[in-house]
Amino acid sequence: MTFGRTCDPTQAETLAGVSFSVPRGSFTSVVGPSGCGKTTLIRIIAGLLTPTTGRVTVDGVFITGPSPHRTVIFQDYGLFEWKTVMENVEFGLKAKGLPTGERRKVAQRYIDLVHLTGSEDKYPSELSGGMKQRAAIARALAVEPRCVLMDEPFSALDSQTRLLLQEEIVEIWESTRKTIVMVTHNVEEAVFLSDRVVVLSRGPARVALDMEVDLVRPRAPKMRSESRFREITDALWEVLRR
Amino acid sequence: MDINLENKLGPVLTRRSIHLASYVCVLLAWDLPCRFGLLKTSLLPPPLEVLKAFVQLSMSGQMVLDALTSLWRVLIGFAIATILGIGLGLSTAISPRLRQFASPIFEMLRPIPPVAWTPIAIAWFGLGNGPAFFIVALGAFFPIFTNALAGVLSVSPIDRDAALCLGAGRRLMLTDVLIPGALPYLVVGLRTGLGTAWFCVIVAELVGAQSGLGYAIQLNRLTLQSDKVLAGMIAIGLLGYLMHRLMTCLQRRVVPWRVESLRREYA
Repeated sequence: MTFGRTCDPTQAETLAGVSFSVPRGSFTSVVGPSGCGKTTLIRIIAGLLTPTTGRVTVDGVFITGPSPHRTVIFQDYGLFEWKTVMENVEFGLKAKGLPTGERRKVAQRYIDLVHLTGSEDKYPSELSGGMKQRAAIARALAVEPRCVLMDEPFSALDSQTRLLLQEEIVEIWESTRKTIVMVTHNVEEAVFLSDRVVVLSRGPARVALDMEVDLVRPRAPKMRSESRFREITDALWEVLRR
Repeated sequence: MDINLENKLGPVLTRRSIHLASYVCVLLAWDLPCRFGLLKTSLLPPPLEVLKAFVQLSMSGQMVLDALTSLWRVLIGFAIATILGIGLGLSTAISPRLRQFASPIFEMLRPIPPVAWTPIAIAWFGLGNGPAFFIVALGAFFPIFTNALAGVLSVSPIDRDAALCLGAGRRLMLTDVLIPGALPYLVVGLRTGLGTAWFCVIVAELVGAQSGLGYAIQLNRLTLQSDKVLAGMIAIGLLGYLMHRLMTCLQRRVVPWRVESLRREYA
């Protein structure tokens, strides 16, 4: 699946001209300094915002609005606090029109995938940050989207949970091979998880760098201390500093 | 540095015992002036007299009948207010145009206390149930409507975005996102509305009816039976309190995800 994009600003020239392609089944990260418009970009790709010029195409078709084919995982989880974990994960399936029994089965599968078995009937207020994010991931995956978008999914978590969830996400990606576009300000995270990293400049943003991460897969936690990893993160930091 | 957080108060001054002491003081403050002849019994009968009147009225069934009449009026008026309040609250929340159109109308009506409508209500509906239904509905309407509107608007844009990105259509958005998201506010609105409804029915009955607890205490005042007036007031207070507790229980069941904030209210 190709994901070509040429987009531009809304009102206050948030994005000056950003354009890149995302190959099907790849994990792409977008990094950039704070306020450069990363969230605006992900919202445009999700279809929640319309760019003033330019379009997003998925498989050659222009997108017209939000769609369950491009689910989003938000920074603040976006879980419905009045629904239990099971009901949250089932939500997209309910929207699709699946009958109750089937919904439950599919939802359970994804709840198990993110290691939340046993917490199905808990409300989000009873969950820790890491568990909430896992539930959000399960919910986003349950509808079997073509693409998953993540807007700084781990920044509300403490560093330990963050590292653990990074490793879990990599495992999940390796078993499901979804196309993922993730926005983050954490360079190490981007390098650890992705096949490609797109670096945005300071706002109004442009693409400053678009590079491949040639670390072997499957990624292992100890890779974080390897020299090649350091080289790549240093190179990215160089660009960010400019 | 020593940190000693032991409970120095000890078992004697528990919350319960302080509550009990409070009740005892109130009863004493009431009873003693009467006992020592400081007040005319027609103005403030002693507690024992009031208790006797209360028991007598309950036994004879008169108070029960009056209470049921008042409660019936509250029920109908509250039901009307709930339907209108939630219906209008939801529609104005969803449609900004409707909100802009309705807003001045509501802002004009809101400051008029429901009880100020009593004379016109009597003129329109005559004495009896009519004015009571009307004023109760009017009184309960505003808290319910305001909270329904605020509740839907309080659903965070992220929740709405998340629903859209999961493929929610208009119907699912309403039933699974907007309405449940509005429930915490809504339930508070209903609880307040019920309290206002109870208040309104008593006042409406004072002048606009020929039955019910409000009418009864007014009648007893005119016949100088202050003990019955106070007994009636106690009945009114008790029923009001029970309804409040009922609503709080309902709140717990309908909004189970907000149990923490409810617990805090009790303390």
